[in-house]
Amino acid sequence: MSFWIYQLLVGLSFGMLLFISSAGLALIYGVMRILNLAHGAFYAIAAWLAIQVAGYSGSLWLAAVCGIAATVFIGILIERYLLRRIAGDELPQALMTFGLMLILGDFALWAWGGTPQTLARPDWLTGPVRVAGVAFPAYRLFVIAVGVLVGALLWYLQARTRVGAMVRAVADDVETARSLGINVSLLSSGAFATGTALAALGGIVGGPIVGVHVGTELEVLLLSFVVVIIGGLGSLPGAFVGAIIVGLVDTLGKALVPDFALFTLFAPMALILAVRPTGLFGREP
Amino acid sequence: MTALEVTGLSLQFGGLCALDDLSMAVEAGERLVILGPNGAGKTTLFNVISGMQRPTRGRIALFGQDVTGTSVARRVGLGLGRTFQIATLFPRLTVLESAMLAVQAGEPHRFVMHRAMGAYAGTRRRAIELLAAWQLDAKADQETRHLSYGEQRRVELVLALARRPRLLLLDEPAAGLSGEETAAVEAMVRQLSRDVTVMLIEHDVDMALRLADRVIVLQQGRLLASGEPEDIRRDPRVAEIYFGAGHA
Amino acid sequence: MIDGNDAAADGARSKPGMRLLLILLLALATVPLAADSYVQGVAARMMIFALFASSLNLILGYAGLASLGHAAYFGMGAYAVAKLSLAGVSNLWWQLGVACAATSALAAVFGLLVLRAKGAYLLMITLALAQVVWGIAYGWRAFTGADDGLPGIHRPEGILLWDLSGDVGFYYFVFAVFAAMIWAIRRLVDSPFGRVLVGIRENERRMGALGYHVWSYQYVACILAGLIAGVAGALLAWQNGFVGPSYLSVNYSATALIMVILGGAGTVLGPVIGAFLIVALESIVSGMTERWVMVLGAIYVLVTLFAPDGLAGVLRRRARATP
Repeated sequence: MSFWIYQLLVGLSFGMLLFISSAGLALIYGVMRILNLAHGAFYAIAAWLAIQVAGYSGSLWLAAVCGIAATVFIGILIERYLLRRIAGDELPQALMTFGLMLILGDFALWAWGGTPQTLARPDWLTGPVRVAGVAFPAYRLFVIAVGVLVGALLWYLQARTRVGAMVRAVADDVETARSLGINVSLLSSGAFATGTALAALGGIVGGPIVGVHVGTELEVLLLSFVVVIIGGLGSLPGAFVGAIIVGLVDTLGKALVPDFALFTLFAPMALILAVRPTGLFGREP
Repeated sequence: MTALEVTGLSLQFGGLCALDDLSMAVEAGERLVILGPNGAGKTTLFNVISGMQRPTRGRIALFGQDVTGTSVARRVGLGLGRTFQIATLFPRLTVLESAMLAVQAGEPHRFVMHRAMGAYAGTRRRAIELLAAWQLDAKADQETRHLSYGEQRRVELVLALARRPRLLLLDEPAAGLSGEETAAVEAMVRQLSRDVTVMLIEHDVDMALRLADRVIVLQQGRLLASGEPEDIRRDPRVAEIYFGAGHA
Repeated sequence: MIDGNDAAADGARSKPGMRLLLILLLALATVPLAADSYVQGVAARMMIFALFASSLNLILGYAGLASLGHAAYFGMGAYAVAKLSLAGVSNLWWQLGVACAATSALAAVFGLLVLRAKGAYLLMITLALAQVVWGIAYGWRAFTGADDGLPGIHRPEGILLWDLSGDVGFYYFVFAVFAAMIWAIRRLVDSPFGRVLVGIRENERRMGALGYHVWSYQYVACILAGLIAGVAGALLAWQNGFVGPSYLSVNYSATALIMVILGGAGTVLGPVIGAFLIVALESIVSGMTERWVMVLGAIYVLVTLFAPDGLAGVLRRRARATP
């Protein structure tokens, strides 16, 4: 019994980490219709930067802030000076962001080397906590809390604020939104920056548990893909549900059939796509 | 002989009723004009007849054969041809190549992989004939996207006629054309042989009524009126929804 | 006018294209006479990747279907010949036949799943399916060797007097397959079938209204593309004597895409040129710096920014500017 509770909590915390990492991908696709293949690279760069800053300064808060700020800055530059020039064409956008992923990934290899690293966890989160009679790492509970918080915040922004209403309008129909006087260009930049920030936050929150290594950018990208495919491209509730499903399936898969963990993850996704090409929460494109 | 018969045709989108229990028949050789305000379901009717949209309920028969659940290709095989409201052509293919594709659709070599399409002289000859018949032969080697709007509408017609349809659905063939070009379209439709049954959606009511043997009027997916052009012109219900602004 | 169905977007029948192709083939035929075995290996890789890119171009450039998972077929072909070779089957035709059968079967299954999707969904579902295959190759240590891959693959027995075990003999085999396949693709894209694919790319709805069964054309194109990619994968497995999960990776799929886009999608020669340039650049840059991946990334960005229609598009624009 305690095995299952433990695995459940591990799966849930991994799911929340995935939600933080993939929500930005869903947001960017929802607003801009860009399939951002560099998303995982933003995650990795933020984690590497935070580890570097934490090493210099010893402050995890400073590390987190620097990691996110620098990554968002890179994201804004990419959106302004590169993606904006090829707006409206899915394949070139996907290829350009793939190229950016290669560049950022190779840069990380060059700057920080090939050794996997993890971010230190704050002192107050190092110990275990007893949950339903099972000793469970406090940090993983913290990840669950952050995930729920981010989800609630995004939901509130999207459902209850003026900006959220504009985001929904743009996601529904760009032309109509524009005719209503919505500054689509500004909103797109905002969405891209927010999406990048979420990826970076994922890198930092995940830093102490999964860490970062060569190829993290691709792994995170693929996992985020699975999440948003299952949930439905561009849907935040979909990303939330998809992340929990993927977190649980992946954790249980690794625990039960370790050799086929990757297969157990991608096969259900292929199945969902085959039955429901737009994902659980997606609308007809 | 009946070219087309639809019975109890309904199509629902969510809560919206695009077609509502529509029944009608078109005799072979007839020129039937469909009138109605925007959103009355005219184009939807064409989409359902040609098999591009599935009806929620109802039955469609082409030349006596039930085609309700069949593919677009099957209906085209039975002699259905159509044009689109917005010219949907092959922008980066030449006019001749477009016409050859249209002719070839009905020929057995359409799956051949090892011989050049240009080597099928019969297909090519027929495509050139068609283009010549519609004064497009001089444009044969131009890419379709470089043609004028009026020329593109003619290519649209050539594509629809290439397989010698017996029932032709024309969706606003004169939309966006100048007066002169509209006259050309009218002449074009008159030129069509009486072997071809024509259903026409048109916003130029005067031209539509000049061409029609019979007119039906749709409103909110229902059949509002049906009759000779002059009766329709005099029908007060039709005048209200359709001629309202102009004839008040 | 009779000779005039030469659409500018499709360079297949253009005379300069034909001449360029012949010059290329001639140059490739003389490589073993003039160059050392390293250059010869690079040239063979060029042809193999050109074949891979051309197979993707069949669906991307002609049928208008993008894919981020084309490496699934490439890797499938490679693993098929690897397993046969390691099992002691050394007959060329057996190996090639099984590779073709396996990849076209895989494409036949995937085709059923992907043809419902469009746009971004199509990219994602093709990637997802390729990842399933990659996941199997990466996870199933007993059968695929997992991340160690399958080393020690022997080149198959020769045909009559044609020995494939030596480097020169194998080079000419790759050359022959490459030339034959490119010739076949040229024939195919000019054929009624190929023109119908172009029609579908240009306007799918209209092709349906004309009475074409659009789905079956796209489906057959998927299978053909998978099959040719499988042959390319088999060639690389023989060339390297090794297969690994990287053959199935999204990196390979994306590389094929950028090769097609760089040269020009929807032209026979474009993907060949694109593949030649990238493979050549890889071997030059890799000799100078360890940062080839960064350079490759920069190529993606530069191509999508400045040459979205590829070199063929740039040449066409240049030709139009100076009549």
